[in-house]
Amino acid sequence: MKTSRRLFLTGTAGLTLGLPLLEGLNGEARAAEGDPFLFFVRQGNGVSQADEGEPEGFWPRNEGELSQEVLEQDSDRVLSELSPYGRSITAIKGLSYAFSSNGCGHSGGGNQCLTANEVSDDPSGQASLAMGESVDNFVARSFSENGGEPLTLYTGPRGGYLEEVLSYRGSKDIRPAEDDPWTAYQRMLGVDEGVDLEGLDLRRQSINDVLSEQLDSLIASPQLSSADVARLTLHRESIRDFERLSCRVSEEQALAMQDGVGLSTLDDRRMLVARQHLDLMALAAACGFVRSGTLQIGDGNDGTEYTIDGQRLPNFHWISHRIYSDGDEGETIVGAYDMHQAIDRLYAQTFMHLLDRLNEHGILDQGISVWCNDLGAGVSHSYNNVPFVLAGSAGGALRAGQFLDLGGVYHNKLMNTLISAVGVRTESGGLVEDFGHSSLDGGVLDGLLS
Amino acid sequence: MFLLLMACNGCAESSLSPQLESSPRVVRLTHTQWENSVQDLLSLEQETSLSERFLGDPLTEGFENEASKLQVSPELFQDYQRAAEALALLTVSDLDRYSAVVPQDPRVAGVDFEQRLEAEDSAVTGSNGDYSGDGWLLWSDGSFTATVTLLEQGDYLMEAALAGSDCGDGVYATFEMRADGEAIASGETLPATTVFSAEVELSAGDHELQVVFDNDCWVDGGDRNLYMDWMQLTGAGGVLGESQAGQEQALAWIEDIGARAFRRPLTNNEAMVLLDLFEQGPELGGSGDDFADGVELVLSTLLQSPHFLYRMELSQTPNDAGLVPLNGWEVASKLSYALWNTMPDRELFAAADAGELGTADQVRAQAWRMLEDERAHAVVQDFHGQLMGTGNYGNIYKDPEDFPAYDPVLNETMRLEVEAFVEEVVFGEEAGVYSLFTAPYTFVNQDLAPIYGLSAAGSELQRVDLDPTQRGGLLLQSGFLASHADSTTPSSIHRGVFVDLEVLCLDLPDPPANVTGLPAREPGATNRERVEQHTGEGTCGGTCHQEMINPAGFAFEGYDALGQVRELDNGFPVDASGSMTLSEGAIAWATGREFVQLLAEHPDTHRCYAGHWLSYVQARKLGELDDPLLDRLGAESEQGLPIRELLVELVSSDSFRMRVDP
Repeated sequence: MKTSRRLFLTGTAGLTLGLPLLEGLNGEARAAEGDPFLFFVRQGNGVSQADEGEPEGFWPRNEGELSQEVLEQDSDRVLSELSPYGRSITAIKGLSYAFSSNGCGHSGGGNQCLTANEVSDDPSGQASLAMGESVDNFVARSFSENGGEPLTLYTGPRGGYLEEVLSYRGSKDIRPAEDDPWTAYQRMLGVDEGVDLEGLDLRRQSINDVLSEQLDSLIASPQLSSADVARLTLHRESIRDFERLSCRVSEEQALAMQDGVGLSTLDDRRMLVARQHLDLMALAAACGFVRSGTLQIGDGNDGTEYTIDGQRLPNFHWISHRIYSDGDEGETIVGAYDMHQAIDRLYAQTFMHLLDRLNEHGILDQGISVWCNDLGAGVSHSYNNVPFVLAGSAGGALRAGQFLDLGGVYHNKLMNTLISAVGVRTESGGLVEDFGHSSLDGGVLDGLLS
Repeated sequence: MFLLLMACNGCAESSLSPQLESSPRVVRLTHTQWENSVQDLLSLEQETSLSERFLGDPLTEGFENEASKLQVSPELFQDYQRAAEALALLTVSDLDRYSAVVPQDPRVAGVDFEQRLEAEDSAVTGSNGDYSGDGWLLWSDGSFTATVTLLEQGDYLMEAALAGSDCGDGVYATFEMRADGEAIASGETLPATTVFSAEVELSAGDHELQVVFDNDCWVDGGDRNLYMDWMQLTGAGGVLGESQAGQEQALAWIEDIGARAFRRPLTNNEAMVLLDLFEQGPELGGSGDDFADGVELVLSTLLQSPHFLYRMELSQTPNDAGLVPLNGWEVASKLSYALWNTMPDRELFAAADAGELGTADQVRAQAWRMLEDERAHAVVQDFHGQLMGTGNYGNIYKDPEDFPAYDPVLNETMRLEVEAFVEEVVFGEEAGVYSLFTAPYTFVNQDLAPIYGLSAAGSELQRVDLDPTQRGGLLLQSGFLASHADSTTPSSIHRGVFVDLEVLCLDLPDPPANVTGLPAREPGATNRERVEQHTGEGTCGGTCHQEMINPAGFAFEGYDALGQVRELDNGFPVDASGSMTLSEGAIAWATGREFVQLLAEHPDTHRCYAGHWLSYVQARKLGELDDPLLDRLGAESEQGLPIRELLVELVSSDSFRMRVDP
């Protein structure tokens, strides 16, 4: 008599593959290790701040120290949503993107947001790419977790005009993002439940040895171009033993993610999927699995039809233009500014979902979570006053709990500040002050690092 | 080659310099190509759909198969790894699939046997409890027991249909499945009846099967019980019987499957490495079926190998003309991925093996054969779908006030219309580019017909003739016109830019950075007047827009944002007239129909279309050294060359069959 690792797979007539068993998915995240992390959550289309004659609806009234009470006082402003975490919030107005777009403001803004680098002119328009590495990638490869890779997550439509724009391995080398939380989670687990791990690892090791030899031999072929070699080299570096997430989502979360497989691109699931992605981000940080990650919510020029208080709003990109159009002419959307502010509040609540999860794991202040945007405001497509809202202090490295208006500083300095706050240093042990394009004045933002 | 280059460095005239554009040597399969290739390699009846969960490739300009964009990141490596493991396991878990993939190891099917035992029947003893519905409920710890008599030894599957209740604590009844007293599986039930199963090897004779309930609980507010509907024993007729194969068969299999996976014969060293791995199968697999363990391990390796995941062109020996001919295997693969989006079939492999892919005529003959196959139709659809952007048709939206007849279901119908039209032009009529842009017919159903001022019955698309003074070809179809329009108004600029870039392949400079929007529409002005005010003479957009973009866009002013013919815009007669200066001089027209006629007759259009195909089949962007081929194909297309022949000419060209770089 024998039992078999082929349990549940034998006898299937079609090509249905066995789903992983759900037993044992109840483990708790292990205690915080203390290593700082850096996460970004991207909103598109700017925010409801004062711009082109519209009133201020986003920032608190007064610069200075933030607390629950201070934020609550400005309840008509979006950031009041974050009041429970007032002392952990750093809200920074007055940051600008330094470079022009090449025909598409959303693509160009998304390209620069985490790279502080130029926007490509080939390709251009909505296909434009960043001309440098993004900060999530930079931070991830400064550490060993997850093989030096960040988490790159997305919830938005596919097959559209403009998809992921945020994360880059290097110049014009965009990191494709994962849409589906269950797939992302399965990759983190690295293996189906119930599999004999020891046996699997031995088999994978034997196979990887053969694959590595094949790739090494190919890479050494003298006839290949440098571009061919670069692609094969990334492949070669991708062959490794993958860390396995040591903790598990709850069974309820697992079932919810499984139920959503294949549905992550739908508008009415946008924020649900975003929250599932954020659950994973928080879990991954709590288990010491990653050091950085991004979640882009909505496509490049987010056209999601958000549902708020049971009411399905028009396309967000149209709302941001205040007309029923992706272009420049269309019927006016009555109440568009209020809708934009309501969507901003929805984003604030979604960002707070991440903060809640991190807080539950006891690691909110261990890292820094950033809510960022591709534009300052939707109507003008402005690259000025691009909102950056930070939560957490990276273990006290950042002086959190303040609202600053920098009055027009290129945001590469914020990137330097964040990199330094999460503990990355130059080879000589100094602060990293030159992230982004070489033409930009370097340095960190004054008064933010402790 | 070294000498050749040295000689060339001193040449004033570049008679010996490379005459072909350089192409990537390693081209990763697209996810579609991966899906098709594993289906063919493993002789599966249907797609695995495993690639649906692969990390997607980034959206870029150009075609999706462009090699420079197709990478293997750590995430995708993991996806390939798990898919390969699943497919290898699938292959060794079913006799039919195994036999198709490993004919070198013929197996006899396992035991054929099936017996279902209903819980409420006397054949099953419940140690306590009572009837409940169609089954039996155990109220407290106990078991269901039955005895079966088997005539043959073999692998069997024991199944049980179970449900459980909880004790108010969320913990449901747990169970153990036993054969002859030994546990073979255990688990926790769900509230709904669920079939649990486990594989077990049994000898001939009598055997006792049991399902045991072991966590009974009864408290105020909770009663944990185990319910069973039935249990069943099935002879594993589909699993693999005993193997008679040894090392000789293993090597024969490796050489056969390896050659198909790598799409070329394995080198001796490659075969030895894989045989070595095969022989580690029993140790690493440990299922008790040594040969199948070897198969599983090697198959998993092949499916993750770069030689499977990339199409490669590694030839480097130049011919007398200084060009490097691809070898037969490379030509076979390049042909099959270009025309079929999958690996070569046995006939292409045989041609490569026999050295029958070395001349243009030999490749031509294969290409003609391949174009008859359904897979070539899918490629032609994929190409035109990407070219026309039909993947974006799902985002079409029209303002219900302006277009009360618009229904989102039209979006998919418009996509299918393009498919049906392209199929008819390319394969039905066996026509050329001219027809693609002028053919005065299309395909409509009851939803789409009204857009053309027609009526039709039913949801199936049917061919209808259109007014040839108003319609003709892809650019005057609903999909193109509606997708290049916003919810109320035609997007003249987007329509014009599409014609310039995708139909004529004009070299437009990039739009200015942070371009400002069009002014709001005013009463008393047409769409054309509004766009002209913003982009016409004397504005910053003067040159590009006035000469290149706006005329091409305004040509479609006679079609509204849904693609319907219109004579008035904002109450004024539409003006679609215009002129442009192209490579052969100026063209001028009065209507959109005249404009597409001029496009269809213009050499730039034919050359541009051929260039798109060249880019598609070569999986790269075009370069200057593609010019001579495109000049020739463009001229032939202008003379009426059917699209199928254009494809045959492309894949039999030197550019396709040879390389330049050392």
